[in-house]
Amino acid sequence: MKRRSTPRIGVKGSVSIGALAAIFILTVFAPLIAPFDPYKQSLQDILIAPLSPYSGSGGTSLLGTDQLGRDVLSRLLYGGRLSLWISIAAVSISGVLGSAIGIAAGYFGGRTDAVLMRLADIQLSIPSMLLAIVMVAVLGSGLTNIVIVLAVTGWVTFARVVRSQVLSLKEMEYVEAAKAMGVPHLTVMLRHILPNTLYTIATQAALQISHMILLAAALSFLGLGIEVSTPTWGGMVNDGKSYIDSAWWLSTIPGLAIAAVILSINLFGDWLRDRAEER
Amino acid sequence: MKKGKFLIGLTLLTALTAGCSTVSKTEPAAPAAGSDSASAAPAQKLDITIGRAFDVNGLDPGFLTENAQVVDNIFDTLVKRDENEQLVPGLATDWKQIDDNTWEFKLREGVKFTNGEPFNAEAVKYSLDRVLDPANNAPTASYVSTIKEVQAVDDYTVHVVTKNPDPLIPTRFNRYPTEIVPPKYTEEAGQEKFAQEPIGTGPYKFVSWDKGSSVVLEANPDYWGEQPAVEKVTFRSIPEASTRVSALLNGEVDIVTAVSPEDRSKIESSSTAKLSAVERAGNTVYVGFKTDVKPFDDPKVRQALNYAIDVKSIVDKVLQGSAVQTNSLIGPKDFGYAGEPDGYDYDPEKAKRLLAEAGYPDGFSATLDTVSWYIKNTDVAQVIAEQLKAVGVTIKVNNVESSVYRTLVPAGKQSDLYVLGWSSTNTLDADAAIYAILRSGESYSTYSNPDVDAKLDEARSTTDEERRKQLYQEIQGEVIQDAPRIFLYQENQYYGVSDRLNWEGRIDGSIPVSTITAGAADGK
Repeated sequence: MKRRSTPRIGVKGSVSIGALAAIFILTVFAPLIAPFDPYKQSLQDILIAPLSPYSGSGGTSLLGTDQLGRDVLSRLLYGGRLSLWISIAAVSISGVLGSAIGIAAGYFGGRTDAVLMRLADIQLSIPSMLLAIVMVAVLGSGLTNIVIVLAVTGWVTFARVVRSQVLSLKEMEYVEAAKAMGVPHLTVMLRHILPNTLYTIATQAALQISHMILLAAALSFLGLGIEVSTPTWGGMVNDGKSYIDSAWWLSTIPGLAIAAVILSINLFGDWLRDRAEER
Repeated sequence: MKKGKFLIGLTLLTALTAGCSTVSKTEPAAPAAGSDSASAAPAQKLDITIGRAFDVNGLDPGFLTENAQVVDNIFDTLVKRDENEQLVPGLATDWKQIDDNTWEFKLREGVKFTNGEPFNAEAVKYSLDRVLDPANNAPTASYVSTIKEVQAVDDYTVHVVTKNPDPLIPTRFNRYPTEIVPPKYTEEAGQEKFAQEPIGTGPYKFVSWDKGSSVVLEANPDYWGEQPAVEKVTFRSIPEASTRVSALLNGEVDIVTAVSPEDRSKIESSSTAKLSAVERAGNTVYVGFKTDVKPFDDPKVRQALNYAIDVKSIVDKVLQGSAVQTNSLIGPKDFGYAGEPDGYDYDPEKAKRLLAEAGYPDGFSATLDTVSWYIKNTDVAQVIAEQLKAVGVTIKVNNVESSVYRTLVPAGKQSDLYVLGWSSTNTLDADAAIYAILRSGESYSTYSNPDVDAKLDEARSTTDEERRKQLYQEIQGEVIQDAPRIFLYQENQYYGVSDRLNWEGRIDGSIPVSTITAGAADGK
């Protein structure tokens, strides 16, 4: 922590950070950037191809319109905001939960460790997509439920990775010293162990965000996501699926957006891991 | 409850593995494996494949949970319909009402089931008794619930005794669950085996069933009617609509059902297949109100919402003309249809005025439930929400998963606004088209009007046709005025048919394979 390495960002870092920054700005400021209201339907302008003019009001539709005459670009931006928001919220919850469990398991060891890790094993044995679908079927759809479902499917990865690191950390002299001096367990975990796992957690979080975006998109593609008129990338791909012959842009554009975001996040995660190894 | 939720999850998974199939609601399709129209002495025996959206669940006509498109080719009913949907003799040669509560059927002599069992009055009685027996819990028993008992008078005469006068008895004996099954074999096989290896008297006999994928039937050489042109038929399940159309165009299948609106032009412009459109053969789709819940208990509110919807542009733009705008509760082919009544024009100003009069000048919020059963239903629901927003009513569209909706609606647990479609399918009678959704107390009805109730009840128990017509017309007028629903449209049905065959879709949704003949392009 003290010996800060030279601020070498590298190609991987600059490309991924640049792309992510652009995506964040575009989606966070969607209301300012989007040319139209993403919910506004225009039955006169159904399925206009990208870069074609609108029939009535004039103006050009940059990325075309969908089957209800809504502007695809505006929906893409709003949808991205929602997708990112959902995945960041889900990763935050699962990250905090998973890390806490991981630290506790690793630090206390013994029975606590066994119980918590077997619990994690049980959940890992169920494919996360399957678990998510069943949970949505039981809990019902909706924004909060989707976040909960995603958070529940995500905690295991955090717990396992953090635990393995804590196992070696707790043997360090400074941890032993703190324990010998009678520092309470909670303080040891918070002051001496948690800070040293942060890099790992951050790397995991980046990878998990891309995983969550995919999972959320898959859920809304299957019609299990949030309200139908709310733009989401997965939902947009689904909407466009039956028009794939006649209106390619409906599915293709959000599909490309998902791919681009996942790619940049994975690059970023990769870069973070490289940095962690460098230290 | 736990079990219910588990089942929902399970059904969902099954649905997922099966792909995203669209299941159409309402009373499934028809019998009528009419031998009557098979053209004389076909030169060449045909082997065809029919691509449908889903596979059968079982092949026992008495215990179907879906339409009878497949089983109606294996079994016969006492009464059949010709291609003009007129009732014609099937296994019964003649029928008449002998007193208020009794109908007499004279049966066809010399007919045998494909396992050699003779067809006679006992078989008719057995077939009906097992459906009517409450212990058997037959899913479609309600279609014949007016019947008190079936009496075998002699070998070839049957008396059907009803609880009250029932003018629709011949119609009821045209559709499932009244297909006639062989008593001895059915008893020996048991319900489960019979559903997998059915035996009937129909123009086709069962060959094999590859679960989840296909059913194969072969012409019955001993059929009592004419021999059909099609020798062998395979019903294949292809859940994805566009895949179905591709399969038709590349010659894998010969007929496909449920062509989606955007695929129509692909078939029309192809050189190997043609589109068969059956106007208004599908469901009449509407937005139901829970009329006992505020604010929908006020007719003014319900009328206002009718004025607020531009149905014409929904049909033209969103549905691309794959439905017909209508205010009629009853389809044009149904008994009781009296032309197209006037309804509510698109008039948002009037809608706002009515809402203000009803005490909602600033509108209100509500949830609209929708489901994937009907053509582009989520799109339609979103347009409705947008148009209602213009008069101040905020709608949240809730897309309910199919298996969940199937249990919510009959239990009355859907939202205060909900999309539902209904049709008379193969009864082709107003009673089937409206009774279940308008009579108070019926599980699909969220409407209660004592006057309409009385008329519905009278119409189903009077045999005077003129009186019945008049009653349905009065009900129609009253319901339009009272607006327990937003009147929308009736769907069309589209089939794709290969040029090597000659067949047109039917209004009752049945596919009588024996009516399929070789087309002009065959043999080239």
